[in-house]
Amino acid sequence: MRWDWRQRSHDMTERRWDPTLREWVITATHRQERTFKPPADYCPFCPTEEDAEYPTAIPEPEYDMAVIENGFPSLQPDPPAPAVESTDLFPVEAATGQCEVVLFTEEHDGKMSEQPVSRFVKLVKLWRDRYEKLGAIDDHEYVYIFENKGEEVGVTLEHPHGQIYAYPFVPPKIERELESSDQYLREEGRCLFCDLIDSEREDGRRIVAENDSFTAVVPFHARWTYEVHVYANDHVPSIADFTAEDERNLGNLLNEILQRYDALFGFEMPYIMATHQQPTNGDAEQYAHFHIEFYPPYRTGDKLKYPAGSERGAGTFINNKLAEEGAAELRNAI
Amino acid sequence: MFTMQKRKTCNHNDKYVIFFEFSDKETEFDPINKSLDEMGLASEEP
Repeated sequence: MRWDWRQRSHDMTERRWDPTLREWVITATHRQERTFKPPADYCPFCPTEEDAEYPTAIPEPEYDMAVIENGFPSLQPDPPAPAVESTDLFPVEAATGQCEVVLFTEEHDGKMSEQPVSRFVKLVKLWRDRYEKLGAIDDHEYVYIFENKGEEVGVTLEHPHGQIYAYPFVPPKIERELESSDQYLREEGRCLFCDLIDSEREDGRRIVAENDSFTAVVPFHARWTYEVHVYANDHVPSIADFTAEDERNLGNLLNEILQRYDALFGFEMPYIMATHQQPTNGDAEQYAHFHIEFYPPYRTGDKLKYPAGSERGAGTFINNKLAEEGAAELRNAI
Repeated sequence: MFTMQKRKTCNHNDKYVIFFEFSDKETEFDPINKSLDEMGLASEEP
């Protein structure tokens, strides 16, 4: 049947199965219309001033931290029916789930590396709340906490913020990690990530920062020049398993990582931040291990690393620097 | 030690907004569940 594009809904989300890579692809057509780089005076994430002509997305004149329902969600609690019919070879399902935006501060120009450690500790507590609340919903298999920071990684709103997607499936990169750790557990009797971080701490060459609960390293297999992974030192499957000391220590280490990033080249480092942890369907407690991954796109102070033919077309990253050298530079940045 | 309190409301687009407020004195805030229940919002919490 020929597709008539004029019949398409303007608020259409669905997920389509790619049988070649065995992963879902989400289509969210309304995201073409999302707010794109508005001037600071029209920022939707700033508080609504008392004499404002138009309200922002925040209906109060001040706030500390806030979570708002994403105005242009890729996943929705009650999504529309898919635009095309599902077949055996081309499965399509409704894009069920939840998308939230996390506002780190009410300050539009608030530089996170200059925020006190307490703001990061608050953020960890907020993340934990959302992981637990969104994860308790039956439709949600994985609560993904992430941040896109900087124009270089495609950010369309400057106000300091992160995002949370509650997926109805375990996303493929996390699923592959968990399969590797599951296999390692069955073969070696230990969590893969526990052994990785123990080895990194013993070796020391790739460590960027550490405290009693967490260690930040440029991973042995870093894809990005200044990629950093923050691992829980002990076997902690998810943020829901944190002690109060863990919350403080993660806040402390995140603050330090951002300071090191911003000091490295003398400007606010853009990055993608991704949290990997136990799926909220309860699986993988023995082999899921909480960690956060940072992917900054700069390979020098004035050159970006573009994932291109080998990275996007073949799935093989080429790093321009030894992980040991990248870690040393970050250690010496402050 | 921070304690955390949440307040939930909606904005002009009918999207929910959850405000997170923190204190280092536990006595300043009611427990989270009590606060949400009192507002009749606990069942709507995603």
